[in-house]
Amino acid sequence: MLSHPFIQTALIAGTSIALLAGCAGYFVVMRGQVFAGDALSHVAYTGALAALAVGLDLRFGLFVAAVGFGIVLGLLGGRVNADDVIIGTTLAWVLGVGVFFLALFTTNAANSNSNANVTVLFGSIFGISFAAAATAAGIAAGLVVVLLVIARPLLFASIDPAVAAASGVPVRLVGALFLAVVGAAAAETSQIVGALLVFGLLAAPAAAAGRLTDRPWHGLALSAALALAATWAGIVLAYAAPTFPPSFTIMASAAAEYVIAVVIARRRATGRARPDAVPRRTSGPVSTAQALHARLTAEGHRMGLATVYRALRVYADIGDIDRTRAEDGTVLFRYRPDPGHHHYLRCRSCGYSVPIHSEPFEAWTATIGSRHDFTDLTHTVEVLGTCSSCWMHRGEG
Amino acid sequence: MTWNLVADVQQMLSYHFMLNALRAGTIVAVVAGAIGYVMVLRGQSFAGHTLATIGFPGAAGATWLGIGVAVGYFGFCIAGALVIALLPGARRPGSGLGGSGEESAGIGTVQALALASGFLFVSLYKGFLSGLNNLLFGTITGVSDAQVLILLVAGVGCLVVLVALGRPLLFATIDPDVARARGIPVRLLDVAFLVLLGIVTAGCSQVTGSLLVFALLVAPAAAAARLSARPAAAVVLSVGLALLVTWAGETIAFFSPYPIGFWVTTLAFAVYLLAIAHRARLERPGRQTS
Repeated sequence: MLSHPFIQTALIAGTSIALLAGCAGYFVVMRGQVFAGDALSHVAYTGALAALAVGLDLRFGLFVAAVGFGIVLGLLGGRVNADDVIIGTTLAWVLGVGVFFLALFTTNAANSNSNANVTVLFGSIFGISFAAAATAAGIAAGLVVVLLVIARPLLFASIDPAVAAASGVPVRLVGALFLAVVGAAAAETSQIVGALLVFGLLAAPAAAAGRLTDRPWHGLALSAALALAATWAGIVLAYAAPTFPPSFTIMASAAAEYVIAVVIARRRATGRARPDAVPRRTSGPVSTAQALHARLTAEGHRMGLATVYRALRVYADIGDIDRTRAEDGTVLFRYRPDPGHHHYLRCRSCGYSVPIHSEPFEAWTATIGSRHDFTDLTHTVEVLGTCSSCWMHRGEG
Repeated sequence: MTWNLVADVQQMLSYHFMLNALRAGTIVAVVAGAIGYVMVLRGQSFAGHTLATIGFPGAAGATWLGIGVAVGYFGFCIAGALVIALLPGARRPGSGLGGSGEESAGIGTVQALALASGFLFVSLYKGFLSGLNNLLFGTITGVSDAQVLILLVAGVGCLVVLVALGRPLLFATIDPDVARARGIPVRLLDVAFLVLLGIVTAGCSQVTGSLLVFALLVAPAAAAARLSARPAAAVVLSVGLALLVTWAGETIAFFSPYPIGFWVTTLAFAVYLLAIAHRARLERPGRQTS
């Protein structure tokens, strides 16, 4: 099998692109930008057809459109995650424009290459030329390096944007750079599996990795490995059973990985140790996630910072932990011993806090609610001060 | 084309295929406008997009096996809806399927696998490459009398179910926790809605093509949601905009060399942009009324 030049070429292109897609996809899934990634791959399709319609190399259109759109999405910032309607509407229109270019391209009598559309949509890893494969491998290697360089700040900015920004990480720039890389990855990947299927190679291995491990670096490596395995398996299967197009076998392998990962995760979930140590350690003074992580590590718990964040978020969502913000915007957590509603008087320098009786305040809120015909009131009250101990030791630090 | 509006419309309506396209378009627009609004409200755009693409392997598979295309569309879309409803993470309370991270990655995997299977069926059934484009991007010449009848039955059925589910569905959408506490079967409603969405996308796919259904589902609904905050008014508006977009798109496509998919998506996008602009003008500082 390996003696066929087209298999060798496919393996060169497939290996490099799979590694890129696995790495980029892991961050896409973690950042919750799957729909944006989907939109990028559709933009790549329109770009490729636009390039064909005006007589340029289709790869030129792929890259310009996908990278450009990635940067625009990234600069729009957090709004992209929030509003799937905007992405959806734009995505539908972009595809419509792609159809327009397709009509332009196919009605132009000079074009004998009528399969180009199918190639752009569904790819053909066995049809790639050696030169194209070498270029693809080079670009993929470069992009993986870029991803690894920005990986740490990107991870930080993904998990806790406020703290990352406070620590001097250019969150928005990192986000834009990342989506530009995803755009380029989509353009690369669409050469082997096609614009419509890119997205599977980005999402499926990453989602499978996310099911299997909570630790970011393991997840990243696992995601790349799974993407690679899916691509190799796909190539071998397509070679063994020539009726099946390679794009299908690659996608089917990736989807199978995801299903297996879901099953494994479900079987393991029953016996897995949960980060129960997290909420109990938040009793006492309020704590930042980093401080809590440091404390847990010192006590011998083996647990990553991301796990601490995840556990804190889960417990805050179900109401076991109160979440407040310090004056500089850092998120603070505090264990809530019983499910009731509490307010705290908190020291702004050491974080020591005491629950306070707030009945007069609650009564007042209820009164103004009923006076203005409002029901289902909620409120946020932060009372800050300096505790006696800090006041005594002021000026020492 | 003569620029004589009456004569042009008469000419267009004298073609039987055009009449069928308009009938099918009307049914599809009404149903998509209504259910699309609920979809946007529930934040399930991504699930809707995926269901739409699942129609493609359905149609391609049916063509390959030589059974009716409509059977393929409906069968695959309903099965797809059930698969999406069963995905892990989908039952987390309060999170729409368009939510972040893993559940949408799961949906994305379903979507890519569906498209890949469609491609497989196309290559197994050798030689309908032009058919491929029609399946993906729609055609106005492809709607038969039988299809119009099926669409009508499916469309009316969907609307009846939607109206019947309307109030609890809205409740479960806006506040799933409270709805569950009141004894509303939220999980069952989730599944029922996805199946409904599957049936609607299957119907739409036959007119606009699998990849472009989404334009009719999401854009008029999103525009309506920007223009009115009251659900009833917004649903009516959403249906009206969807009808407008479909009729205009089919008419322009008839008189122009470019495909219907391009016109329908472009008009839908324009309607959405106009709604955003209108909303922004209303919300300009100094024009508030309070």
